[in-house]
Amino acid sequence: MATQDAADGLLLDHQLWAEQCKLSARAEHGGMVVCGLWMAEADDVEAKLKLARQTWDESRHALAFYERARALGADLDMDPPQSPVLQPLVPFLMEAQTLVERTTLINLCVEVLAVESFHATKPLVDLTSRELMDFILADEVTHVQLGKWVVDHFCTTSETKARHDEFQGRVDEALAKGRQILAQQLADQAVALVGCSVSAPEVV
Amino acid sequence: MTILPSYRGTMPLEELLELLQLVAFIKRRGVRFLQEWATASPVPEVRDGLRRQITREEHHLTLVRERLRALGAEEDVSYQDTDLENAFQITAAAPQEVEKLAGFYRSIKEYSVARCAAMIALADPPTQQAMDAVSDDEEHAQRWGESLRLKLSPTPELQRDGNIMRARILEQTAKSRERLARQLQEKARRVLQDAPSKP
Repeated sequence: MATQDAADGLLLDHQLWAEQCKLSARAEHGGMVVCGLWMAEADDVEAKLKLARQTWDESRHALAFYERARALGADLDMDPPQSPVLQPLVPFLMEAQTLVERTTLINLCVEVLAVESFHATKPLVDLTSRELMDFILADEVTHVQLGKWVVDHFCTTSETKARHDEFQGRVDEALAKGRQILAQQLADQAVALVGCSVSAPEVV
Repeated sequence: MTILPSYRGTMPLEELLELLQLVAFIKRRGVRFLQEWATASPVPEVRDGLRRQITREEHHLTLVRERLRALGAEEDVSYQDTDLENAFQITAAAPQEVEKLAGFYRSIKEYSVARCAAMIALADPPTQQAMDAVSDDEEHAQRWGESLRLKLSPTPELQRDGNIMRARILEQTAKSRERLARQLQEKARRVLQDAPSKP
């Protein structure tokens, strides 16, 4: 397995990367559900159509990650553990009631995290996974741009813009706390799993 | 700062300039860190690789400077990020090569690439192109660093030490993100306080 991984260019531990693909599939699956719900509730027609496209994108990403995880030998389930980075976002899912808050949360915080994580992880994975991530990255960038479109379209006064910034700042702060929890988990994991070649990345 | 009517990015210009100054800081500090490491490293393969990387980092800094100028700003050499500075100092103080490799190539670079990725998504087209070029280079650098770390880590203990260093640096970069998020909130709250109250 290790020789084959080296030939394919995988620098992460094989099993951890397979598990990470499962986590990513779950995150994309969650994104699909949330986006679909919010698409149905959106009043603005143009925003509704853009969110419909995003819902379809998320389903393709979830499927692609499930298939990659299966190819890497992972057992599939629909309820793997949630990434620690995303856990602090759960209260915001309930709080976000307007289209601007919802797209800020998903498109300008979670999607930006995804774009960053993909860029950070891509150099360390096998060629097939890299191609998959390139394909998904192009969509994620479009989703971030959709988030900006919503903000520019609906936050037309300095007050509404400031409300958006304040909300985004709180979500970003929660994500930063999630990363600190992850750092602690990685340190604990490193001590507990001596011999594990590399720690798992924090891909969403 | 001159307002450029020709700016065509989705990200506000002020936010983009802040990100470019941050990347310039990482590059400046990174060159200094790599130069010190290349001088002191006992491993020839590390020394040779680092010298090549220094050239690339200097080139990235040039690209960032050019973008700043094109956008009407100058590189702010006094720009500081305390948490990232801590990350560099922790990595530089690590006694083992595998820790330095994990700290810089697996963790500090990860943060730097993340900042470039945000610009690839939302900046103006010329900055997107420049950040694409930097990001491609970073991908090669990260693969080089991680391959070498695995090669130099034949024992579980060495692998563990590298992973612990990665966690320590991640903690610092998370603090840097937290600080930026708080700044955004404080600025927004000031605007809301100053806004005339609704009848």
